[in-house]
Amino acid sequence: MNILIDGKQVLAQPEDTILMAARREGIFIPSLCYNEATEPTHSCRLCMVEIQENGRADMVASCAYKVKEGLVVTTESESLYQVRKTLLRLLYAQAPENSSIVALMERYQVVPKEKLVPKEGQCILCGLCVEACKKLGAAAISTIHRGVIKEVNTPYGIQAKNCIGCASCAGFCPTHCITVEDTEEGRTIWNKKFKWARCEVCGAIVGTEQHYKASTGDTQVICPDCRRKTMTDVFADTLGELY
Amino acid sequence: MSKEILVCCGTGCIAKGSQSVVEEFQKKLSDGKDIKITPYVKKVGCNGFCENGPIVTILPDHITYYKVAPKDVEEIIGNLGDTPVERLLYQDDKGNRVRSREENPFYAPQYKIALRNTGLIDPGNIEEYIKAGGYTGLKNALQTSPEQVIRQVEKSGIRGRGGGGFSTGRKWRSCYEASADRKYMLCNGDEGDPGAFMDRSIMEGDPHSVVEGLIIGAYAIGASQGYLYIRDEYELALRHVQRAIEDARKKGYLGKNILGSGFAFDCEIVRGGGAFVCGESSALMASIEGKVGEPRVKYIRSVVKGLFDQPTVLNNVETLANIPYILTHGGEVFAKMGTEGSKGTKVFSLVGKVNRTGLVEVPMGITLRELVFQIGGGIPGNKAFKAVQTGGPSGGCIPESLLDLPIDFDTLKEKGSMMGSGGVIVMDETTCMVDLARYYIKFLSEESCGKCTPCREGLRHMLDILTRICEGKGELEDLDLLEELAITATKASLCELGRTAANPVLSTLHYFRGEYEAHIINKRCPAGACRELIRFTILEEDCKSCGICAKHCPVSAITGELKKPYTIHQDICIRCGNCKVKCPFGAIYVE
Repeated sequence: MNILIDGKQVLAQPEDTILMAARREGIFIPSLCYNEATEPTHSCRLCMVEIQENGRADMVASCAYKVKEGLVVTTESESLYQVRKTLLRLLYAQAPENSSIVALMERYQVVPKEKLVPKEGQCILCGLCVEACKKLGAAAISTIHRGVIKEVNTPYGIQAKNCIGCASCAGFCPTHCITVEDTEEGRTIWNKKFKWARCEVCGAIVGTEQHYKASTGDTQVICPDCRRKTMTDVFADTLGELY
Repeated sequence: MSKEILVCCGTGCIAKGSQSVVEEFQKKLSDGKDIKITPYVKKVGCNGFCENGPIVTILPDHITYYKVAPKDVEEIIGNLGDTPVERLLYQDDKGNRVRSREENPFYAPQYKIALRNTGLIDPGNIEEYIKAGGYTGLKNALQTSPEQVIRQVEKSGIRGRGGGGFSTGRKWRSCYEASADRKYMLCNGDEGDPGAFMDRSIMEGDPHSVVEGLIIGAYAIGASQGYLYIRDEYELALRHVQRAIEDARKKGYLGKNILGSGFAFDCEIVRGGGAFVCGESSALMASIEGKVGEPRVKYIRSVVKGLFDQPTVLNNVETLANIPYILTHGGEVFAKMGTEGSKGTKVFSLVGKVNRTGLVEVPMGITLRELVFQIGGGIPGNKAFKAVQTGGPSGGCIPESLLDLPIDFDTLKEKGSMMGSGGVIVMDETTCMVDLARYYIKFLSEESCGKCTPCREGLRHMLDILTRICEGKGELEDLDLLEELAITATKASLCELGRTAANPVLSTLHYFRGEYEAHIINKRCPAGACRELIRFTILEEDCKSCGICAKHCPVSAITGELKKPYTIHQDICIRCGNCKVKCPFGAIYVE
């Protein structure tokens, strides 16, 4: 179907959100909590755009709003700028000096407000880590409490039985604020220590023991390289040398 | 001749001891050999005038007694036949004792639809509800098509009583038109506004009206399963609704083949865990599904994709309580009352600095002035009226100049407040509007689900700023920042809670900006409420050196000697105001 984004005709798929359709066309809409691999959390609100539909004007989150035939979208306007400016200041106060946020502030020429007293840490509570963990089947972390004291943590703040140490949460985090400590022996994340699973053939690290078990179900640990090599040997053995 | 003695056993009256009044009546009547008339004692739901409870009404004489204690029971029984017990009657503004509710200024302007049975019937007895015309609406509905039921509701013009004010008929129609194997009909009984008790009273006092409304709604939209989401703190309401569901099932109003019509529907209660945000429709549905009570974006409406992703209608308790009336008397009758855009009546909980507080039901379109000064009897202690806050914590404050506006959904919204679920809080000159905004923002910052940035973080910083202003540490540019945060929360928040959360700030900034400026520029609180900005002083010429103030000062900040005026030492004073309350000569004032 056809929609109009900033005056440009855009061909969109029926299940597209405005953000998906815009990104495919290379139209920039800021966002921190959107990742196409997970369920959208719609929480950072940076991706707000203005729409016109059936003569009705509205401001919506483009990561959540599904496209409809004839939709008219504006991604930059004075009122959008005002909203984004305040949102960026609020985000900055949550994660001061954070590179992702600072980059967006520079793009929109927003200066932080000193009066917005910063919080400790760098988490902006976007919930991407929680969604990633859920999607991978571990569901070891969650948002806890509500209101201004909300945070992301393991249940009861103790070591989560479900956590497999895959560190996907950290990989998804837009402000890179989940601490992962990797050493020669293993990994520490969410207060839990994990031992590395090492390839029985070459000794390369393939992930934590729990992660490897959860994702392959194999008892024998073998790295992708060695697995490919073994397969090649099997083929060579069966089919013989061709050249 | 037989008489009925109705003893109010709503939560307010129970707290004031109405249970023991009932017991005393039962005891006195069972062993009273010389009683010629046969009275029947009945426990009924809330009468609304809780501050004067326990309330006892004698039928058919329509005599209402207030503040009845067990020791009064004998006298009431003794005077059943002839003249009423004068001292237990309500004293109106002119000092006359009034017998009936029609003469009582609190009740006289009221018109009851949602509360039609509350306070008159025994909520635990389905027969009484039926005798009062109950389940006639359902029977009428089942004899027509769902389409016709929806048309009646549309004709009535009723709009949702829970806050949004969305047309109930249109909501039902959209869900009716959505095709799905399974649909759900929900009732929102998660009343969370501080000071509001409309839904609670209906569920406690007339639970069948809600259940009947739910069944009619289910029939109209084609739902087979319903849930009543009721907050866990409402112990009595939960008990009464549970009983109502069971009794309705026994009578064949719920089940596989309702009244032989072939229509199947059943419902159950889900207890809410006490989060304010779970009153928001999508958060409520998430909570029923067993998920974290967080709202979702509603670009696809619940009537298409709601509970368990199926088409769902969610109606508030009061809305549902109106439905049987509409189906019994017809939509036109209901639509005769109210204003152009808001039909019928609305239940308000009138609280705060007002002479008569309680639960009132009035036709839409009545002015705020009538509500506060006629029904509420004005402001106590000869103080001046300052503002009235409608719509709960996310409502706005309306000043004196707008008191003559009619109360309806659109007018209130236009003036920066909202109907909400119907909380009305009256404030006098001693209420500081900055402190008030701070109070509500604090409530909301704790009760926000915390999912989206503009609401969670906006509220956190608004609370910070308001606290600074109340402590005299504010600067003028704080007001701009407050406005900036408030507007962003209004525009960019995910759900209605966030979108309306800044109303207390925006409306007080709009109507009472002078008070903010007094805190910031003059470092004083005109209402004398913000501790950091006030001081208590003894007026030398009025002080009689009695020493009472010094005796009651918890920190010994007052000293003095006989025949000389006393002094308050400001460096020690904690500004609790105890001295001012205790001074018999009014010699202590706040500045």
